[in-house]
Amino acid sequence: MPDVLSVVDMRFILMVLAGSVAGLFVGAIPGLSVSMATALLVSVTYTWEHSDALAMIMGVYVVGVFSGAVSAILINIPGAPSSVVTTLDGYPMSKKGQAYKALYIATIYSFTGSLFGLLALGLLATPVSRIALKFTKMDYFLLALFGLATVGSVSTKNYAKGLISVMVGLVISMVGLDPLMGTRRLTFGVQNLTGGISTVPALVGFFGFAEVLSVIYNRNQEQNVLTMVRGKVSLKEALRHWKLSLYTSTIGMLVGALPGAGGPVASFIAYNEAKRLVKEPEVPFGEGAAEGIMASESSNNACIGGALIPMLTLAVPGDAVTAIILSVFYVHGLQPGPMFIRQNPEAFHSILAAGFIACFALLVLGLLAAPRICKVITVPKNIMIPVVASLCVIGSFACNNRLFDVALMFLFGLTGFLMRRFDYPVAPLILAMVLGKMMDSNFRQAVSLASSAENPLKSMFGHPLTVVLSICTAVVLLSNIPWTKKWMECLLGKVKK
Amino acid sequence: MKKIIALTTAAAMCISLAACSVSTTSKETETTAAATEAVEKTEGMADGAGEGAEEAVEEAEKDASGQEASVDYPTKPLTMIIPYGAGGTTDTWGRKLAVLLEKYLGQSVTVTNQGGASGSIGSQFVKDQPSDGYTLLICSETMGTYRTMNVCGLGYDDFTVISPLVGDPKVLVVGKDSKYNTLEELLEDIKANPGKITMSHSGPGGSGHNQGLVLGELGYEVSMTSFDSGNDALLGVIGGQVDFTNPNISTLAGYIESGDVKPLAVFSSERMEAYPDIPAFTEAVPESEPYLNIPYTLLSFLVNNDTPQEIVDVLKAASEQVFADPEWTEFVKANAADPVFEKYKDDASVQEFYDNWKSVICWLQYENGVAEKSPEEFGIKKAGE
Amino acid sequence: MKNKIHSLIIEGVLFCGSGLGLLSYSLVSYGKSFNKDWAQSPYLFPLIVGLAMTVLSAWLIGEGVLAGRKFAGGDGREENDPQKDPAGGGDAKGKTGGVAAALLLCGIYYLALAELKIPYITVGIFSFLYTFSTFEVATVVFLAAMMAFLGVRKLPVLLFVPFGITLFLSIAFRAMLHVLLP
Repeated sequence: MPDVLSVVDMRFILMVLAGSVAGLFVGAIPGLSVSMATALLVSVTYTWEHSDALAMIMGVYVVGVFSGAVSAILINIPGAPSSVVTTLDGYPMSKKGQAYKALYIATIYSFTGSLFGLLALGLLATPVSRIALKFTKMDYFLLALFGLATVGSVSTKNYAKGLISVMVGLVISMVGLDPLMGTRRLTFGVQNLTGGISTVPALVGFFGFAEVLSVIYNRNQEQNVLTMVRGKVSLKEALRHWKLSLYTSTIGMLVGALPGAGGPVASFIAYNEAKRLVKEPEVPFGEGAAEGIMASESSNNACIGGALIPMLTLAVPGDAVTAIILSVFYVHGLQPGPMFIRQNPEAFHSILAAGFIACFALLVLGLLAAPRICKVITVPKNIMIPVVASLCVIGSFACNNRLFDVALMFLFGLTGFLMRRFDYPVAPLILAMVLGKMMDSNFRQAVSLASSAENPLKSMFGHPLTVVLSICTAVVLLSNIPWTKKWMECLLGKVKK
Repeated sequence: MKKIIALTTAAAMCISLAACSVSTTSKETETTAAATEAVEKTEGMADGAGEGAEEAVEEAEKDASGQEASVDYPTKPLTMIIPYGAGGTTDTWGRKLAVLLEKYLGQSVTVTNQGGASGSIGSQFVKDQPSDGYTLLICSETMGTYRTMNVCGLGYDDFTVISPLVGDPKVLVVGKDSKYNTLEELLEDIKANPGKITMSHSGPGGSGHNQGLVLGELGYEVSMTSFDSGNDALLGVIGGQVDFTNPNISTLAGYIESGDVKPLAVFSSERMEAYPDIPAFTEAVPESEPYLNIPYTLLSFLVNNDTPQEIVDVLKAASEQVFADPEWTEFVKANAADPVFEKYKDDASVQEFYDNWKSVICWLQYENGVAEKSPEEFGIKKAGE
Repeated sequence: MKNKIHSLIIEGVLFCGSGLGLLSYSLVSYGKSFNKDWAQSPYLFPLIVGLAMTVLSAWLIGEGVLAGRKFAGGDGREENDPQKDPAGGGDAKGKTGGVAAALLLCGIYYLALAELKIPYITVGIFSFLYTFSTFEVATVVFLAAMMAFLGVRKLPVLLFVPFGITLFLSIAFRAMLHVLLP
């Protein structure tokens, strides 16, 4: 550990802090994603010393992932797909006027989660990367499927509707060129669809613009100004779930280390686990449970450390941001790979040190900003809503610089609004959209690899990990079907007698 | 009144800082662009990274005085489009080139990744930009096969080649626990079990796939699976899911060192300088010679084909300077790359090189049912005819 | 209550249709496509998703039918949450109208961004430059219109808030983050 500190000096700390402040703003403004901010930073920093560049980017990364929760909690627009789960409990909480409490919990657990992930990166990078190598193509597909099956169950009363929402998300992800062959699918000759549908317009549309429309729709029933419940949250109360948070952070770190799955899957699985383990929450899940925010935030921040593991040891980026950090490495002539940590200890230490400093910056910024920023919810809705609408427009435009995305965003907003009216959850759709391409390519690769084997089924499902994952997925799927549920209850009843 | 003050201050700023002349056409946009750039530069200085910027400015002044007055280029920042995601081979080399070009052109070169569809999306974007030399493209070998693969209508002739850059040698590897220890063992097993030995490659029509096809042409039939990237294909081999693969040496270097893979042969007719222990493929299979005298992974530096000749000349001169820069030559050595840029200096040899490349690869793909359209449709002649 | 059951069945049929549509799309495209290997075919995954969607919609229809039977059987007041807004005719219509009007406003905003081309105008005080264009003009108007539509009646608010917010947005995005705005 003293080696880690050797790279730290005043200038380094300042760089991290500058990055952190930028990350706070970028993450909190809906439509501006962390990956976009890091991409911008790369073009600014590529003439710098690599430790400066890494310091700043880590600052943006760590704090940006956290601050995606800010807009998720306050205005129900997740800053990034990994904050989608935070909306499930965070927004109901702030609707009750407890925005401060929600932000406080999010800050504390984002801090512990990031710290946990980075510690894992520092201590366990090589063993974790070995685990990641054991995952076959089929395992990745099943993991994603498992994530989707879970989402369908956590976010709605009617499982069929949750799954249909998943399917719609998968269909949206299929639009554009397919990931392996580059064949146009479902584009219907529209040139703008060839590149596929990006996540940002969907995220902004399905959450932000749909929210705008439903507020207008329910205008007469809801009060115009939300009142804030004043009052402090004690640290003790917030830290009550620390044991559970260790568990969810571990989930976050491990899932983060699997390239392609990343934050969104981790946070959904963690949320489901929290829901399963906490039998009697003070407030039911989905209506503002502190445990929900805790699970989501600790796991998606633990993903940061996790996602850096395959990036550094295998040169495989775990998510969009690490993909950009990877390019920073290449620009500075550093070649991540199995020898990287041994050959370039100072770059590795810069990342770790910057990460740790950013964690503390997160804590301080979060605690400083929370009481101020949560006043946003007291802005009258009829002023807030137009602002949110124009933010939606900018956000969706800024991701690709084309108006077509704005039109898509409007369309998604309308769809999202209709889905809410008919009780279809939006979260599964977003997750399915994010995972669709990866599921598609992994599934086809698995089938193709197996097709030349003597026994295709055995080569596809024969590995121990695959067996475990298949069983988990099957259990989640079956246990949520109402008929099997009843049947199971009958069976259990008989056994008891 | 305010506007006049603004314009004069902006003009003053850009003259003093960027040392570029403000042309009379479209003064307004020009001024704002220059001014924002100036602001960027001051920001950079405040952040403590000003030395580089200042040097660049001096360089720009030198350059501007050195060249003939016939063309005033570049007067604003350039954009380089990498039609692949960050971190790949194309990206690595493109960014290196951008940093060095910046040094010799005296303007910042911003690198943008526009990945997807074998690089056709980013290439199309460049094609749609004005042919003013401010949008540069670094493309890989897929540019030569877009038409026959029916990906899009682009080809090398839609662009002007500033220079071919480098080739990235491909190496046939197996995992460290693999039962194969030499190329001969692997090839024998493939012969004994046609279509049963699995090979992963970076994507249809890409360099890895082409090599699989060459193996097929030589009578070694393997079961090929397309992975997400060359690195992904390599990890499949390391994780023991695939029998062998053929990554670029730049992705492979770390894994050879860590002992995770066994390199069996370099897919070329000569051994590599940096790895003299790895045999060349032709040593085991001499009849593969006609397929192996071209680089399979080939990067090129392009601009739109109707870009004025003066601008092309400026870019060519700048890239010549880059290729002579020790930083570049070091980088080429460190990455064990094939310095294609050294071999083809004049227009005619470049043209011949690309024609030969296209005829070998396109016909290979077409005859193996990979390419959808006949190369004849696009006037690509079969090699040796 | 009755409406809700019907809507389940209708939704089921709708999704069944799209599932079948996707199925036939992938089969037809596969037939036309050049690559005949299912394992690597780009249409394998859509086919599976289409199948899954059809099965799920059957489930939805089944649920709707079951609920309908229960309802007909008499013990109708089950599970369906009563808090769901009573769909009283006139009221609902008014609100749907509101949504439509808001969409219309956004549509006009979009068209304004797409079609209007206001040249860049630069205003500066000494070394501080501020450039604005179509985006700023359209946004000020849009914000004011939207606020007025949502019932803000105070003139100072209507005037200053849109200006302030637009200024903030354009400085934050255009000047600081170098995001290209329409």
